[in-house]
Amino acid sequence: MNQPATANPFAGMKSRDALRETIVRWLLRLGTFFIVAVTVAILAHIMVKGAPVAFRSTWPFVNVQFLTELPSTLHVIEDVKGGRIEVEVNRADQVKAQLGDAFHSETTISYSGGGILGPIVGTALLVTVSISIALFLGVACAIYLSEYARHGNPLIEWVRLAILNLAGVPSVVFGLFGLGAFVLTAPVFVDVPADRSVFAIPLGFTTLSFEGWDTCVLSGGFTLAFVILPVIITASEQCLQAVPQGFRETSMALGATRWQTIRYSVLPFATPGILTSSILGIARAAGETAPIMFTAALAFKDKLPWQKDLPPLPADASIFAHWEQSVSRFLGIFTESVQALPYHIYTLAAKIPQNEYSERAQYGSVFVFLVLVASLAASSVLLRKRLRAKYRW
Amino acid sequence: MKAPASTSRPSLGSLLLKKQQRPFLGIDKQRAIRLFFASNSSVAIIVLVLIMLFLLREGMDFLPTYRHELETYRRAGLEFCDIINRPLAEHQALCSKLRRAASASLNTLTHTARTRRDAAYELMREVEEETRLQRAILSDALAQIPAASPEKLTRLRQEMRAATTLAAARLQTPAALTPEEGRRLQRELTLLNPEVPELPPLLAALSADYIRVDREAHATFKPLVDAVEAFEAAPDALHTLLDAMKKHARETKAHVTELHGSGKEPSHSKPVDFDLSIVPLTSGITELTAKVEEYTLLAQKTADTMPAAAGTPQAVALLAEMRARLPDHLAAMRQAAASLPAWSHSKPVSYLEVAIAFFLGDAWITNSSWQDFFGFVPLLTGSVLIALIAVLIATPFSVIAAIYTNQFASEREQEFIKPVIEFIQAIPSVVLGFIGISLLGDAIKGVSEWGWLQWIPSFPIQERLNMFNAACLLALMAVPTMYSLAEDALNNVPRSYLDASDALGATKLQTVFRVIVPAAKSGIAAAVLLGMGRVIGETMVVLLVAGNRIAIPDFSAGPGVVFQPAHTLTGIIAQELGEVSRGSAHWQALFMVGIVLFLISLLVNWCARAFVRRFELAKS
Amino acid sequence: MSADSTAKTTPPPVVQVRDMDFCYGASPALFGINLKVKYRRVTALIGPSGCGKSTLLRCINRMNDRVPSARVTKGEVLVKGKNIHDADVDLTQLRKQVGMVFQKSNPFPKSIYENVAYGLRIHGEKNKSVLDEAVERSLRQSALWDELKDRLNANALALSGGQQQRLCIARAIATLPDVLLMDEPCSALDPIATLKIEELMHRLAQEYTIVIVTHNMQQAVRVSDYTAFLHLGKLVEFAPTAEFFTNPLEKLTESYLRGTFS
Repeated sequence: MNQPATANPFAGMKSRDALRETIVRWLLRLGTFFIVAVTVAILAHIMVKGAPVAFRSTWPFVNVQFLTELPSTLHVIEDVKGGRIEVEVNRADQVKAQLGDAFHSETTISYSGGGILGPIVGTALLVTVSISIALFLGVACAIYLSEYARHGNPLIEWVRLAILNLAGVPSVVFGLFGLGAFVLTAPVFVDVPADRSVFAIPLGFTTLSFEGWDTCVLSGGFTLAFVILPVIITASEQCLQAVPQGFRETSMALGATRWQTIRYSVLPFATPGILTSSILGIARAAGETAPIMFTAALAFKDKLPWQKDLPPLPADASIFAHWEQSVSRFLGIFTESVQALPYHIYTLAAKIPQNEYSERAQYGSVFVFLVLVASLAASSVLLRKRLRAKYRW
Repeated sequence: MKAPASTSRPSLGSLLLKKQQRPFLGIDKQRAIRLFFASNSSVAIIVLVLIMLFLLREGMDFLPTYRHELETYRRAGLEFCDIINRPLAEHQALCSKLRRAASASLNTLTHTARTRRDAAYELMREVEEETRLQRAILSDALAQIPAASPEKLTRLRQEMRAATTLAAARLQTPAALTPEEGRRLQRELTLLNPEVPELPPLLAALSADYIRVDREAHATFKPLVDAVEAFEAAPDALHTLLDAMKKHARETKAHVTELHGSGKEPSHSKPVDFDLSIVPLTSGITELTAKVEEYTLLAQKTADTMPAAAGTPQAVALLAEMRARLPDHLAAMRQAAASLPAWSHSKPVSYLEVAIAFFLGDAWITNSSWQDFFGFVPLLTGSVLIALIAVLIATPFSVIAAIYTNQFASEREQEFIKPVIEFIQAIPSVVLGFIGISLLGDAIKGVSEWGWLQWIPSFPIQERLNMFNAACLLALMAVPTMYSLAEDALNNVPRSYLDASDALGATKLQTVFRVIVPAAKSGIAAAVLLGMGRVIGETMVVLLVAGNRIAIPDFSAGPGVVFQPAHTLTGIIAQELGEVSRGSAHWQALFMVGIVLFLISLLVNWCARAFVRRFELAKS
Repeated sequence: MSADSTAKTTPPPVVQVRDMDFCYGASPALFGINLKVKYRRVTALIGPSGCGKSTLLRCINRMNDRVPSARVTKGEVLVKGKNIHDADVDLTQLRKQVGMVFQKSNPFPKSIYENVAYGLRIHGEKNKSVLDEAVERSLRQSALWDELKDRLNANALALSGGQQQRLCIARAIATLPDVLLMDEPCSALDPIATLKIEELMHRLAQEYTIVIVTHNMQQAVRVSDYTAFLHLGKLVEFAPTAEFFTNPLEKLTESYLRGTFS
């Protein structure tokens, strides 16, 4: 303290260093916000172009037609005054007749008319099937990994390795697998096995034939289930691990068996987390295109899966016949091929020429699709955040 | 609780034994539950094995099938024709160079006249477009039988006139025409009418002018033009002979395929005797060799007499390039001809040859009337090139973002950045592909036309859909994977390193770049690798955006190669599998591609794990 | 040795803490600390866990700045006569001249050479021969040179625990600091490694001013010239080590030394 106050042993470095520090910091920030900006720009672009298709400025504010009709071919009829009328395929002739002499030309644009109900329904069905299967298999796998497996068990190492690798398999390879396994090989009960059947087991009243399910919701759902399986397993295991060890020990100390412990002391606390995480799986399944290209999806279909031409029942049909028909109608849903939103977008983007009409259908579908998927993903993230705050052990 | 239960306490032994009750097939309930879960846990392994099995089941027969196809290709003599045909392809390339040189030369003289003519035509087209409706109505009325009433025709003519006047008045005189000419053309265009077949006089004059100038130009560059024509015609005789041979070979092949197709009863029609069918080809060897020799002499002669001078420096360069490439081409032709006698249709095709034809084949040609080839290289180059560009773009951004959020960003920034980047993962790939078609393609093409960017190779670009476009979108897709893994790696760097560096007086920047990033580098490397795995396996973006041209990119374009379209391993499966019949060589080839993709994904995973493991070993 | 007699001949205190209060957010951690660290002497800070001895140590090179809410609320810390909280104090320069060794050895995952050269490199030294010299000097001073001179390029993480800690000391003294702060440097080491470090400290005390935090009273006796006893954020007693342990002035100190601490 006796030293002269003027001498500063810790004098600051040259300002050049400080400047460099600031510049590098800003470069890093710029790079980071570039990614953010690109993302936001893409989303904004889709919003701006797609929202006008899906929403209306008057009541009921949504474009009901777009959301509740099946896709169809759009006919644009031009009259001699240069005015343009857009009609569906069914009304095209009527409009032409009305115009009479004033009719000038007609353009048709595939897939761009009507709405996107078919694809929405198809995607919903595919997602339902796949998430049911994936949740069942995935949660069971996670329970084993987290509750039963002992460390160093070679099976566990293999399972973990397999899950990692499964997560890295390209989605189109899953598509090939689904095609080979479910579309062409999976077992069905038939009276007469088809030629392509790999082998058939006669069961007396029927035959179990490995001839595949054809392209249908079930094939696509199973394929998607395996695509999202790694996501579900990993998320479920994390949720199970998050349950404090003490809960298990307390339960075991009270004499509960391993299964009782899991059933009453672990699963109840892990379930909310597992369910929220599985929403992320739903979003992923809904967004995949390649796996359903050969297993479930159709470019165009003018019927919903349950609109089937079943023979009308006789007037005096028994209640049993009615019941049987509704059951077969219900099961039939899963053996139909469907349109799916991502595949519909692919068709719109790749298979038809670009013009103002197809653009409207494209941006409309993309917007609705993105809103569906994004709200699923966002709700998963938000719910998980809330759960974390609620279950803090 | 009921009273009796508590009064008489069961013995300890009975309590312990109770667990052992009711074993079923030697397995009690607890064990059964355990077994159930254990079997479920192996589902991941089973699925992996099943994937491999089903891919193999569909794809395994590819080698025999393709071998059979290649054998037919050889037996029927198609290969024989290709020996000469393949080097002849270079002739086309050289021809196109010559043509470009000639047209560039001619263009120097005809450019002005043509631009003027085209500008005038463009104006006429505009007027016609504007008055489209009136024209159509008037033409209809004129063509009507019985003829429309004169009053109606007059009225229509008046309408027509009014419309043309209006349209012509709106025209802007283009730069190529003088204002005087523009006004004259406007006047003449008001008279445009479907009843008058002649062109407006000025337009006719401009047209005639162009024809005259063009003729003059041809006269000026006569030696060059003649040389081009002569060179184009040089292989005509060879082509004639070759075409005859090809026709014969194709017929033999068609015969074989037909037999094979209905091959259930081969005794019905007698099998093709290849030894006999090949004779017309092999007996023509001398003639073919003579024709090849004739072609080489002819081509050499044209090249010798061809003038070195041309209209533009670019044309001169093209000519010089053509001259430089010609000797190699001719030597290749002679060599091919010389190798003909050694060729034998009966030489068996070994599996090694088939494997080489697949894995190293440079052509993927399907649905061809001549011969299908399943060469893997064009697809692999496309996939790898796109993935490399994508990783090159994505790596700096994701690593920068990871470093920034992990080390520099404030809490509030983190809370904003992280969800946005994670959200990218939720954008379905088909949506990004759509963005590539609808937005990015035009954007990149537009940018490539900016004047001050012309120093970049191959700007302005030709194709809207190309590898670069796809790679940009794939980079965006890879960012979340790479970012979150890289951030994990940075997060795992022990805090004590930070303490040590701080205590030594390091600035934040020094600590980050000299200690933390190096300590996390293998984690970051693994992140990049896994990002790359994701990119290679991605389907929809490349299918929609990469341009789908099945050819090895032309690397002679230098770095500009990235702006060429290409096809990919994943894209080809998605595009073609829907359209082929099960069990065909094409179908099996696509499954083979799937097998390779599957193996690549396993390899990438294994490498990433190896990186991380090495890192962990070094740390402990 | 007699502190009073040497104090007159030695330069003024290198580190001086004057009437300092320190808070983590709203909760105070240190109250009214006064401490003079003598030039080229070893000063030990002892006290029960949570008494604030590490916090006090970290005040000297402002390592506490990293804790967002932590700050000195009253008083000042002078190093070499300069208040280190003055606006014109450059943190990197301060820390260059006040080295620190941590409880757990923390060499970087780099080569031995790079570890020692790190401090010089970040302060802009690029000359290879200067670096070589500094590395050799530091390793010699920390008694590692003979063991490691043949494998300077080996990864530092491959060394044993004691070697790693001595390497950290070598790293800290490579920049020739005036003060060396040691935060329980031996707590994670076995007795033999501890002994080596203690020997090292004796030698280093001839060239550096050392402040060491330790929870081991024997160690304080063995290595230090002065001892300060902290309790509940207050400096209870500060005296030359010999006096401190034989004849404590405060009752609290006495009961702590005797182990009848409540």
